[in-house]
Amino acid sequence: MKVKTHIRNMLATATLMAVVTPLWAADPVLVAHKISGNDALGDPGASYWESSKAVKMAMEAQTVATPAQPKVTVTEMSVRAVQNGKFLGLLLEWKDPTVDNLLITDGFGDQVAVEMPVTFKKDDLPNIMMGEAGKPVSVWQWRAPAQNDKDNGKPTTKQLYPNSNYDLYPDQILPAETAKLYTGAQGLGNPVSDGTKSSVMEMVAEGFGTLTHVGDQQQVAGKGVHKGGTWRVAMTYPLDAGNGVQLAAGSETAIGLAVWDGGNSDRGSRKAWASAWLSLKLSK
Amino acid sequence: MAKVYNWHLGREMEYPHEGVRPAKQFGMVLDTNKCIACQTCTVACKTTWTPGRGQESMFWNNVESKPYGYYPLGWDVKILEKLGVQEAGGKIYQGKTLFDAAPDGERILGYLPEDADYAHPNIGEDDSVGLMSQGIHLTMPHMQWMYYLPRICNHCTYPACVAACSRNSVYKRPEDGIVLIDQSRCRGYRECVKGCPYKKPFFNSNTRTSEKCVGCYPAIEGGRQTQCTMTCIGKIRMQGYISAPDKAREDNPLDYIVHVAKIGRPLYPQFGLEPNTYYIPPTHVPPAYLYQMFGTGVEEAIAGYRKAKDDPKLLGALLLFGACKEIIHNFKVDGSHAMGFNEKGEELVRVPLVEPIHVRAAYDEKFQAYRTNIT
Repeated sequence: MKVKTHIRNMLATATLMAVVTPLWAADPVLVAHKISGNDALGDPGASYWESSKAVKMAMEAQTVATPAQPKVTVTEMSVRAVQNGKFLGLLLEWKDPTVDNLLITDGFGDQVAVEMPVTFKKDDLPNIMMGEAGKPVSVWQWRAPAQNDKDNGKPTTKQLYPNSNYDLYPDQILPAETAKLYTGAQGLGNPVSDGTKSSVMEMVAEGFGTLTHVGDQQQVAGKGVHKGGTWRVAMTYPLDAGNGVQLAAGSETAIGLAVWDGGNSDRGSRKAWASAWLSLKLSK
Repeated sequence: MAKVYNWHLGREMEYPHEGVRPAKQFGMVLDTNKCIACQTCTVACKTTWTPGRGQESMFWNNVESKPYGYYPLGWDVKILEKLGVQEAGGKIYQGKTLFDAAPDGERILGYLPEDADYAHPNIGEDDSVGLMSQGIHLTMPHMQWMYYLPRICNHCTYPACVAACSRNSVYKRPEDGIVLIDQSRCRGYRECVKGCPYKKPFFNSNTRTSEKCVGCYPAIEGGRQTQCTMTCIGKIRMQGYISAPDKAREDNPLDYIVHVAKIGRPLYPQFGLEPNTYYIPPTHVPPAYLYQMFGTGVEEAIAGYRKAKDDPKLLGALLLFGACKEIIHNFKVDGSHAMGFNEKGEELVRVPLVEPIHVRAAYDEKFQAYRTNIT
């Protein structure tokens, strides 16, 4: 029953896309120049980013798919890229005066995501809105709450609710295996439950509602820092990887961008996005 | 949007997915007249399903005092206010459903509660609608009123949570209609928390996903009724399967109560979700309030309930509430007893329609003591 609805959504989107958005951004091409070294390029504070010319992308309210976010707070994203023959590095910077990294019922986290075709074909790009069947996109998403987990440890209920009190948790009286049954998504290894391993998630999608974490196949890494009212997030991915996104020195691809302001209750499809692909070229 | 038929509304309505009824539909009937808000159901549910970290203020089952009790705070009045005054009409609902009323860019009209709305699960307990002045004595109908409303997930035929989830993480099981959130797929967007008017999906701040009543599906799969039903000391609930009206079976106790005797009413049918828990409305509450909460047909339901003693089948169905732990698929009344049967036709339980009366001598010769009348 969902497939039909899904197809209807896709068709509606395709029609809208054809009318409202060009395929490629009018901005200049983002070039990842080669720098020296063999290490991953995921440090937002590193000096190597200075060798890259930033491309500014306009971020717009996502109003094509439901649920929509008609009012967004982030309107511009700066993107830089470097590579060293072993890794690609991307640096994303945007203005957000507040750090939103605590997840409670009415509290959402700041996030940013990069999307690119798993296999790039210049004349046969996937739908920029989460890819399409047979043309998967890879999505790398950095999340402020996960960064907080990694930097400071995952907040406990007592830290989230200082005045709370609770008699007894299952893990205080039951053997670990039995207590695990009471941990829901965390016990199942859902990556959103625990950011201490990585603040970035690697996912694939073939259309709306299909975004799925790659699990143990994750190759992306990264880090985000907030300074002077600006988020600065670096993500790095291996070149010539056997599986996942196919990237190599001298190759090119297209990247899509999305950003979420937790303070604006952005999450999921309620986000700001760049409505056209940005061309990314990796120098030889 | 697809067109689906909602029998609570007596008409077709728009729904974001194609409407496919499950092979069987999880259902429950609750007699509000018998509930004393002891919260045994709440505790049974809590200890079974939600004692973990991040679930501290999460109650998949709760009992609230109406009209001033709410969990989360103001859940029903807030969405009713957003929906606005609607034209109920007669047998066919003329107003807007929450799907009809969806704002631009949304799939459903909803709201996300504030975190603090969950801080006082038992707020308004026992508060009646007004004060009683000094020296007053009780008259009928009651001058002031309140009643208890026990609530679980309604495992709706057209769930708002399924409609609202942008990740297809929420699904309705084709075999029994139980609505579940896939904890591996959920990313904690809280679209289901926002979309469900009954506010029965909750956000877990430890797992960072949304969680909801699972209809005690492991028990259901084993032919047993839910924890909240089995532990109810007032025997106010019966859990089983409810049919659509055109498929109603007279020998299914839930179908008999809802479709034949018509004394069970859905909770806020105007929202358009076709909820599958049914309430026998409180007999002492003004109809105007009950219309809003249980839709039209409330006065007929109360009248039918008052005459249950004259309808042996209805009486039998009501007496089977809490009579056994297994799900009763069929029931029969043979004149003096009501009998419940499982899916294989095996007798599960037999209850007398009239409890036997034993008259004992006032003086006990054996113990040489006067007996106290305890009935």
